[in-house]
Amino acid sequence: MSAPARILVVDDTPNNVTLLEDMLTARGYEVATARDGLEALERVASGAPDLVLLDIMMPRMDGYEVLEHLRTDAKLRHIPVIMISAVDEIESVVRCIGLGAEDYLPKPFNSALLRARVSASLEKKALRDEVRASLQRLEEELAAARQLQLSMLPDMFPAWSPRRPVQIYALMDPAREVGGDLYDFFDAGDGVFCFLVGDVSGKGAGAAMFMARTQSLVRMAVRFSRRAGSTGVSPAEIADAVNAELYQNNRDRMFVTMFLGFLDTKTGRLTYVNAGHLRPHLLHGSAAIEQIEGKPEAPLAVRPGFRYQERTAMLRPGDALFVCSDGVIEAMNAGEEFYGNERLEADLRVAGKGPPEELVRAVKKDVDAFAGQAPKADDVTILMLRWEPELSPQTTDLVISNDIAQLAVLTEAMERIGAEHGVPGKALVQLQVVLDEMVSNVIKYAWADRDRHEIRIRIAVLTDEVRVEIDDDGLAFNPLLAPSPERPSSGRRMPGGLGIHMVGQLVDSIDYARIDGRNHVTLVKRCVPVAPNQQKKESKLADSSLKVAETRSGEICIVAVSGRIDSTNANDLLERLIKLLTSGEKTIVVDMSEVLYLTSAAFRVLLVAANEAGRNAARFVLCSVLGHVSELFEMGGFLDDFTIHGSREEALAKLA
Amino acid sequence: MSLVLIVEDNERNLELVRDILHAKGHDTLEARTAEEGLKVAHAQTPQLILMDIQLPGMSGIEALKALRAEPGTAGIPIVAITASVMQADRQEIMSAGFDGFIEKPITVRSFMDVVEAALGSKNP
Repeated sequence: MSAPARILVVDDTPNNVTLLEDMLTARGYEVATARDGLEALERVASGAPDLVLLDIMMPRMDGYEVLEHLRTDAKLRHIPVIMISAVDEIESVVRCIGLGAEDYLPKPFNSALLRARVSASLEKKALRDEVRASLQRLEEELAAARQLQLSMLPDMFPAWSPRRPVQIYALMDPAREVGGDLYDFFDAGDGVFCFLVGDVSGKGAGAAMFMARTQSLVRMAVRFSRRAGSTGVSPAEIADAVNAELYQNNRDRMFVTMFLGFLDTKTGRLTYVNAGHLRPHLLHGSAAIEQIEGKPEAPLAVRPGFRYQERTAMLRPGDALFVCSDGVIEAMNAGEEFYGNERLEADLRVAGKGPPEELVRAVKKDVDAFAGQAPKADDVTILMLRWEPELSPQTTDLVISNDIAQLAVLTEAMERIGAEHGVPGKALVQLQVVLDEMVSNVIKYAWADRDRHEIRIRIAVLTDEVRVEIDDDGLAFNPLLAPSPERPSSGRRMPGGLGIHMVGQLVDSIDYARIDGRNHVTLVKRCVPVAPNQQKKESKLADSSLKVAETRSGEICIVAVSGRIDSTNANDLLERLIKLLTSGEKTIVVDMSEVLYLTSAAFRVLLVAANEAGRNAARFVLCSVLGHVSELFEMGGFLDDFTIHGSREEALAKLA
Repeated sequence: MSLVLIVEDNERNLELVRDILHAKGHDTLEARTAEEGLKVAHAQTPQLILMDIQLPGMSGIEALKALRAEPGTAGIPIVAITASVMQADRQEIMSAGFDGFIEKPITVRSFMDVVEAALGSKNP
């Protein structure tokens, strides 16, 4: 048995009160009474009744005022009120019903009517209470679901660290309690940082569940893919796997668009898949903004067995990626205008250089201000990621034009950088060879026209490596795909690709990307810079240009070469050697003891001279090929092409 | 990287020129007589022809005229190679319409300068 309903009877006529109290008590109700409006409100305040029987005309406070008071109080407005009125007060009753009274009871009282109206009102109230309670339960459940959903998305944004040199911020604001948008980010191992933004079709609880399923699948796919293979995680493979899973048991044919990116925080190489998502914006350090390349492909869960295409972009230090869901672009104001891409880009231009958190919040604020009071149509998700690799102050940017003579600028810059930052001598020489080979290759082959073009070079001396980046807008050329040169045993023909082949042996890694019509090559040479004062005092910095001096020892012509022999000066050496040969010299010894290094251009020149000597029945030998210069001969595969003696004395003795 | 036809009857000289061009990354075609050179030029349309003047049979100057008369080869730059340093010979060679002039024995620097200039002059 539930507790008896409590009824408050309010009337200034004591007889009426007594009569009603008796009749109601007899029906088993619990009755309280009040003689005017004020007393009635006091009673209500001390314990809300289930029903109020209310007279209209009373001293101190009349029935209208009591009604108004009850209806404006959120806790009391659901208490049903039955007006007590004389038959001639019908206009007042109408006014009371307008004020929220539920029914009326005419005086004099008819006990059957009283019974019927009271029990009908109490019954309705009970029903309403029940509806309210279940609604409240639903709301609590939705609130819990919302909390759960939001807690699935990472809200701890890792601070920048040398190990994870990124700044990131993201937010998701569902249009309803729960939404179908998602973002996520996590370390995928080996310095690779994974991030994604997704948007499930539809809204509400169904979309929220699909979103949860998607997020878990991506995380698990990445985890197992890391386990399965030693090579890096591929976003295309992850997308293929998640797509295949989401397609299963998906009767409502829901789908999800997603931008999934993997940033190699060591190199700035971004590999990504765009499954039907808005194209993110790439914000360059210089505040230039562009949408990332590549037409969006099919959303996830639409096409079974779809193979996603993996794309690559090369970020430069300070570049940022801005990814959002279409809730941003398609936010609508009261005038039914869209927020749109142009407005977004204007925001990015203003705040694009600031920290991700500021920018993300600024865009969200602007979108909210734009939409104003218009009802939210879609979830809004925004993620921004900036790559901030640890740039040592030892970073130098150089720009040269496509003129072979400009290589001297580069060689000297490398020499200066190496000396300033303590790059060990051998590594420095090898880097100079690498620069000469790579950049001369660009100058010779990158452009079909003869116009002036720019080549950008960045040299960074880091704690355990030197990193060289070369960037040009010439024809696409991937040095990783260059065929290895075939060297016929005769040595007569000079193979192409020799320089690139040598570079491959001189550096620890080569990375190539074609981005927006530009070639971007990153070369890494591992070496630990030493404190500059630990460097041997070397005078070669003063003058390392090519010098050729001839001396004679009887019939033998000795050519002493010093300095570097590279693509800028190899012709000078060739000219001297050919001149000696055509003027009838029959024995030439090239003393290499003072040579700093040779590039492939220099080797070619020596081969031409050796061939010419052969045609002239002359002897052409090298001597004193020392240390790292000898290694270069070996790398190029030239040791067999020349007669090489250990020292000048040895050469003279052999040739005498 | 360009394709260069060398028309030269002196084997040693031909090989030196060929080596230098290879060292500079160019591909080469070879002919020992002007008649053979004309055939190769028609068949393969090189980007540059280095033409010895004193050849057995048809001379380099005659070969130049024949090449210029043919629409297929009229646009190819042709550089003369000659051992003759007589002013009058030189005059005759230049007025014949060669795009450059290389003296034998060749000096590497000026040889490459003339070749590069000739290759550049007719590039589209």
